[in-house]
Amino acid sequence: MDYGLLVMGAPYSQPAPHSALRFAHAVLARGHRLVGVFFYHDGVHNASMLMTPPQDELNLRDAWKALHKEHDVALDVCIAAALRRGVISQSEASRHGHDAFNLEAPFELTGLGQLLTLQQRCDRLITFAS
Amino acid sequence: MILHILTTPPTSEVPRQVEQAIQAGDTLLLTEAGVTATLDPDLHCWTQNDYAVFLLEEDLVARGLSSIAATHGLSTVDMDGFVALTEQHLQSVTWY
Repeated sequence: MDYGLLVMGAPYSQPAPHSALRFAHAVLARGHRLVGVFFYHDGVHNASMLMTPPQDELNLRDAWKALHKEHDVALDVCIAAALRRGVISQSEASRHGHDAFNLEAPFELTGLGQLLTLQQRCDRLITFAS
Repeated sequence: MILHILTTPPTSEVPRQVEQAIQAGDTLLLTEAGVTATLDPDLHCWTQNDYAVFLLEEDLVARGLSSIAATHGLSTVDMDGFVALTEQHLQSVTWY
């Protein structure tokens, strides 16, 4: 089956991202395909490249990145939710006159239409929110 | 048949909303803080026979509740079992 995940929880303050990540690995271990993960609401903070947890703790952004690298999972971030929370790509930062940015590939800023596309494309879309 | 994924503890309003929405033949999976329902064996979800109820084992372990769930004979699934439940149910709703 093709799976998609919707992640709406912030890293390190809500359990949703950890749950989603463990679920993602279980999906792949059962032989399914994980098409993409859509980060929405506070879930957009999963994409911040400035995330710096202690070295002996899981870096959630790196874990999502590894999922993309090893299994070609698309990592889409809602642009409206991200920008208002200060999660921003280089091109958007430039467009809005900011000197810094904190989102880069493989995370992509996209619109809600991408979530609908993911839902239509997948056999299952599972939401992780806390 | 819908898989209801409940992430909040019995002290929140959300479980009552689930009770209103869930239908006979559906499945209820308690995850994250939802597994603290283990501490109250009198809750409606444990005393009814209309739908199946499972607890996510990893979240029970994280909260030190595994032995209590076992003592009460409550059904658990691991993360692999969670995926299996999503295979069996065309639709899922996450309550939070």
